[in-house]
Amino acid sequence: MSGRARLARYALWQGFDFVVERAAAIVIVLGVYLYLAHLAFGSAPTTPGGAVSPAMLRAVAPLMMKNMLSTTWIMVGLLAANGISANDRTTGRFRFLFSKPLRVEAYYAQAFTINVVLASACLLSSVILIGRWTSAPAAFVQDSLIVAASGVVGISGMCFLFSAIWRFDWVATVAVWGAVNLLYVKYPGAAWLRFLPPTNVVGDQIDLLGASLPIEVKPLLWFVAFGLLCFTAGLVTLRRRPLST
Amino acid sequence: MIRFDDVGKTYAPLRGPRVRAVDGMTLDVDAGEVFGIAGPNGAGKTTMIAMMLGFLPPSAGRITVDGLAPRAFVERHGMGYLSELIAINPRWRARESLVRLATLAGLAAGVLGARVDELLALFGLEEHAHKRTKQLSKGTLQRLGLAQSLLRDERVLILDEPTHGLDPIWTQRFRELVPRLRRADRVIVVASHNLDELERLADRVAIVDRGRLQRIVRTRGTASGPTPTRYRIAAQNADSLMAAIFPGAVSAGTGEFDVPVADLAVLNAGLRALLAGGALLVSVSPAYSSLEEQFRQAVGEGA
Repeated sequence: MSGRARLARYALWQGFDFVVERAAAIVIVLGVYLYLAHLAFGSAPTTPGGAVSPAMLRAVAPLMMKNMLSTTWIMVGLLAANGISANDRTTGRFRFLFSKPLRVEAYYAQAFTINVVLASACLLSSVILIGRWTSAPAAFVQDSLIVAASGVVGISGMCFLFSAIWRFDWVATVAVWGAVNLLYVKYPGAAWLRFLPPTNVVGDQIDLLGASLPIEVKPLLWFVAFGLLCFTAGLVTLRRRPLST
Repeated sequence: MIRFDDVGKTYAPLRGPRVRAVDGMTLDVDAGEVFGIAGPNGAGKTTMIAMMLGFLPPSAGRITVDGLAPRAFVERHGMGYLSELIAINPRWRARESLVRLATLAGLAAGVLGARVDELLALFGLEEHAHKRTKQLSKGTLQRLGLAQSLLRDERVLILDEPTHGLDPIWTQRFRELVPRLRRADRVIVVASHNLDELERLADRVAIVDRGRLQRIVRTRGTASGPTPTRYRIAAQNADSLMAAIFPGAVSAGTGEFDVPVADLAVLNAGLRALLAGGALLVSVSPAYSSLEEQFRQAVGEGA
């Protein structure tokens, strides 16, 4: 049996691990936001029939989407990728795993793909749900989906690289994200900012969503490409670095 | 099959001095052999094993397993490995752990379940099959670790402290199992602090200390062969006779003496002389096995 076939059979276990170890946290985070949004509906002005007025819904949709996405995209991305390889390394669990005929980078590439796909599915479901509640236009929902998916892929790719390097992966990812945002606020328009990781673009696009403006796809594509670049660099690191220290 | 060619490993931490864990090690482990590794704590055993599995690259020299770099061998063929630290996800259940690792090891779906159940039975784990690994005792976890190392019919088996935490019954069962695992095309490496165990199981034992190979002791077929060179004799009324009959005898207190002897004839002649001199013998036992003796010579009495 080839290594690829062995790993493919193990994919179900990796999916199971995502559900048991990570999905609960993601569902709680998203559930809290959706619950709060639901409460907001309860206090909204209603039509004589008791329904929230369509005008109100249209007005509130961008705000609601912005509120939900502005923090959840990074949380979901981090929950998908944090500790993905660092946990096995620091706990010594790599020993039994990688005495089997298995390539380290292939194992974690598959785990990352599964985690990111499932985590994105959770976030995208929430976006669709808000779109449904608020009867938002299809184009707006589509833009929101693109922003959410790009954010998760980009940030989790970065977290994956940090995980391949050291154990404090999510802390490092948040630190980079925070530092970049801070520098953009402090030095607006500075030319050198474009050499920084483009972690700020998701926030910019979420602001556009909040203002009911169409998003810019190009910066988001750059962020996705950056995330995939980090992911590839993470795989190279896993291939080259010793498992044991 | 496993070759160390002038291998060195130096750890260079960010803070603190560099540590030379393995230095100038050259040895060959042949197919069909059970090979022991003995050494005091910090001798470099675990580093040697990590390099054999490709978990660590050597800083100097070269290691090959069947002609391949260790990591390449593992990725292509896999190795049966029991680590000193049984680190299995505490959330996994015992049987689930074996199923997962068997899947990664590439056992065909048709035989996987049967093989897992066979190993659960072999290591007395059936009653623990559905317990989470965090609920297992040290000994049970060790048996689970042993079971996972035997999931596949590997050509290289590396067992690091295999009887650590096992009760005497399971220790004995493990010792009975190892000869059954011996095969012409298989290497079994056992690292242990337990010299008696290595003497029973291994054909040869490498004694390492401070990262260097001190000597290789051939044990199989010789374990019961040469006479131990020191005996402990417990006797009453023998204090004044002992030094005269056994030159070099050293009192171990409370009527016991460690005596060096050249061979069994000298020992028996000396015992007859003791009895003739009015001493009452309580016991006579080998003071050290030959491996213990060699170990002490190699690493010093302070080890």
